[in-house]
Amino acid sequence: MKKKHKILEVINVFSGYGETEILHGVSIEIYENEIVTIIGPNGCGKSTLMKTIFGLIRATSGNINFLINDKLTSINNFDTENLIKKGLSYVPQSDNIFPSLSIEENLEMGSFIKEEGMSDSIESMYDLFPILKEKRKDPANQLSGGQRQMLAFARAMMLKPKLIILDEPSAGLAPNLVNSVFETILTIHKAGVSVLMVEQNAKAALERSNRGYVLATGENKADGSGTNLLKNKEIASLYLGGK
Amino acid sequence: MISYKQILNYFNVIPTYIKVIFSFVISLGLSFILGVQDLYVHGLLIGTVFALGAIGITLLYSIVKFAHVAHGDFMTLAAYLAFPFAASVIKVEYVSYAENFSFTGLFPLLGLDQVGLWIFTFGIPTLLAIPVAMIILALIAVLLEIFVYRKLRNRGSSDAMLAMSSFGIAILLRGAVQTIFGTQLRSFDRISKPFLDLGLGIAIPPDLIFLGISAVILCFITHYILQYTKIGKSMRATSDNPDLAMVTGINVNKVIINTWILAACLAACAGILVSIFSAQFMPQMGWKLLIPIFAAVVLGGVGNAYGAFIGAIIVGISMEVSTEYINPAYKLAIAFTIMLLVLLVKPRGLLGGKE
Amino acid sequence: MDFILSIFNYLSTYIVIAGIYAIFSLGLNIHWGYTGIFNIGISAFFALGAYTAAILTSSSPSPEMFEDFIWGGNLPQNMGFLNLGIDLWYFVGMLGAILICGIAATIIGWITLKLRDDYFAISTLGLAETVRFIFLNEKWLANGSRGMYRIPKFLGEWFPPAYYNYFYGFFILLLIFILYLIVQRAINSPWGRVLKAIREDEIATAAGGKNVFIFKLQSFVLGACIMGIGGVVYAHGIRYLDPLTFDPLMATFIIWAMLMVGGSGNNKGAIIGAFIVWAIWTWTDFLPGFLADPNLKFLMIGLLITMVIVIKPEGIIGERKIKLSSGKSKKD
Repeated sequence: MKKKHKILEVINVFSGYGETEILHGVSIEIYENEIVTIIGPNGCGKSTLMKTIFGLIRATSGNINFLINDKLTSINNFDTENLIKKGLSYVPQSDNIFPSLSIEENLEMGSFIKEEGMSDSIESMYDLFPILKEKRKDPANQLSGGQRQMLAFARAMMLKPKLIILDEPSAGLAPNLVNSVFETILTIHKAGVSVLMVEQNAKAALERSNRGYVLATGENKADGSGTNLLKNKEIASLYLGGK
Repeated sequence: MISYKQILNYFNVIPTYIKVIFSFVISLGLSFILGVQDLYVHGLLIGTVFALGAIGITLLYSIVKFAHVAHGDFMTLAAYLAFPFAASVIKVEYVSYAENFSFTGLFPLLGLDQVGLWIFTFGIPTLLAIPVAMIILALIAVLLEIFVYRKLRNRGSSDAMLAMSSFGIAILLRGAVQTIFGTQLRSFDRISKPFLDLGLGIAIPPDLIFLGISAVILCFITHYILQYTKIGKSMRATSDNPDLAMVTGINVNKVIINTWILAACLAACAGILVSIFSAQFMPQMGWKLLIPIFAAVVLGGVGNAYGAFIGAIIVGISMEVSTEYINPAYKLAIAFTIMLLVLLVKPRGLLGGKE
Repeated sequence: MDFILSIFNYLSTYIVIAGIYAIFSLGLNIHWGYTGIFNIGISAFFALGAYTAAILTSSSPSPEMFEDFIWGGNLPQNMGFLNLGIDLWYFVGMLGAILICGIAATIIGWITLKLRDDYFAISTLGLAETVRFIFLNEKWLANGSRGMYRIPKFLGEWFPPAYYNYFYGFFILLLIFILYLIVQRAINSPWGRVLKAIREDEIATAAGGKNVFIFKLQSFVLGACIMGIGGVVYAHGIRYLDPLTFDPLMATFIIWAMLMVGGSGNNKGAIIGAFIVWAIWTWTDFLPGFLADPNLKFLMIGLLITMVIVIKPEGIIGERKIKLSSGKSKKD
């Protein structure tokens, strides 16, 4: 079996907001072509970790390395534009589309940094999500909840990132939509991108993940393959809360 | 039987532009019935120039997130920036830094002094001075953004503080204009031309036609920029969701600077066009224009450029037609009342802006 | 000796005018410094207070002096039973001004305080312009653009004209002191603490069960009344009023500059700011040539406001606001 390359490593990272430290030394690794989910109770630092990796919050200590030109390089001080150029992408939890712009314009914004290849990227997104093509000229605020998530993901995929970070993709969606969102995630994964996501819906997410990490109070608590984490009764009772 | 709810639903489905055209035609007809069609057309054309200022303010509000109170003074400043280029005789008198003197403006000096083009009162030098003023004003706006407003935003200043700082700027600009040029009335070179009789009881000053057409062309250009260019789309995106814009890789600071440039260019045109039409301008001009412009913005829905256009037309028409019934001195009060009514009854305006 | 006397004279005039502005500044501090109400229509209350006092205490209009307002009429003389040696009508004038300002603030506040910061500000500006406008166009009210003059001096009969300003300056300082004590008392009361909470975080305060609107209204009225008092003192001191007096620069923005420079949120700052800015304003008259240009003062005030906001937003004595340590910019 071909050895998978590591594309992201987070080593002993501390970070937080101003005076409040949220992450107290967290480490994770992501390899190419996998889906990794981070679960944990509310307030454990899942979102903070995502934002720190994407440079929205500065890590106070620790290293974040990302695969650039076949070499793991430190991205601690990269700004957003740079990170996007190097193949990282981020989908916020809520308010993750531009409501007054059309679907096609939303996608165009995803390719804002690099205009070459934009129309090809748009076409491939339409292939992946035909319903977006149907409504391409409609304003994005007319989309349903599930379709919005689709658009949000498609926007983030426009520059063919190596790793896409999703912050609670199923949050606020009706139960019947939760499954379709996860199917969508599988779809974009099949298109050749690694997915790192944070989720409250631990069971549904882990079922579809290669690996997972459990975070609590800003520290690593456990990790393993998706199926193993699901089978582990202790973790289930502590963190999965019967979901 | 058709229910009330059905009628309301039917009404909501009609596209906006049809409602707009319909209201326009009906109100125009009404103006004929009331015998105020002349004032109506006057107000309509003046309204288009208000629109230039209103669009700028509404864009600044939705993208940079504050009320740019210095916009009126931007417009005044533009007229004074154009002045030394366009006028053939610029008298500098009653100022404290020099003895009375006068000089010739740049373009007339270069021989471009033809006035009274076709049916209009103004001339070539004034026209040429417009893009010059636009460039200089845009530069000033960008400098202010970098050295004042950006600093305050990064510091987390409240909306009120930002507005207050733009007050400071407004007073500063007005003070600069007054110190350099004095407070007397000025005007661009012009030759008086007769009113145009359009028939049906409507006679308008010919300059108004130029005003209206120019303003509409500028609005179309703005529309094109907003809808079909990358810059424009990034502006709309930033206005929708600045955090997402940043995460998508849009350089929000650059978008803000582009917004300032656009708003400044529109304001410059508005200021000079108004000066041409009024045949005069003075340092206080800006304040007088600010209230109708803000009323237009609020009426159309804050943050909505198309609303600003429609709002400006409505405000312009209301102000002019009102002079038939009440003391013309209260024109500004009409604009102010409109604004207050909208804020109290339907704060999101006609076309639904933010808040 | 003459030279020293003229300096004292000059200083007393300075104290009178700076003191009047200090009163306005105190009123604005209640609005902005303590409650976060963004009032740029100070001149409205200035005008209402000043005109009310003037109308109530002025003598009857005479056609020879081109006066065609309909009120005034030597009310002091006509109310014979109030003959205590002191002309009580000054106090009636003051009370009337407070009343009118209070009523106006209640009505306007009721309508507009629900609006957001910047819309409210524009409404106050509109109010100020409307008030000025009405006094300009309705000549029967207060003589329109010709203005009201010969407004009687407060206790003018008691002092020889040459030394009157010493008394009035002293009186104003006394008044400022009294107002300062009153405002300090109000601010340090439970009522005042709610105001400060509103300024810091309106939503949280409302969530805590306080009727934010009523508190804001009360603060608006209190500040307006104080501004009205300033107007009264102005009317009796300068003794001439016309709509031009209340132009935005001299009747609103210079007061903002004073509060910003001195330190908003701080009553001492409000007072000191007034004296400092007025000093800059008048003493630049002594600068050589060009620098004494009255138009330059416009520029100066604008520059002052802007620079203070950008460089030292808390002013000279102001309290430094505690920055939220989230690293993100504060949203409204």
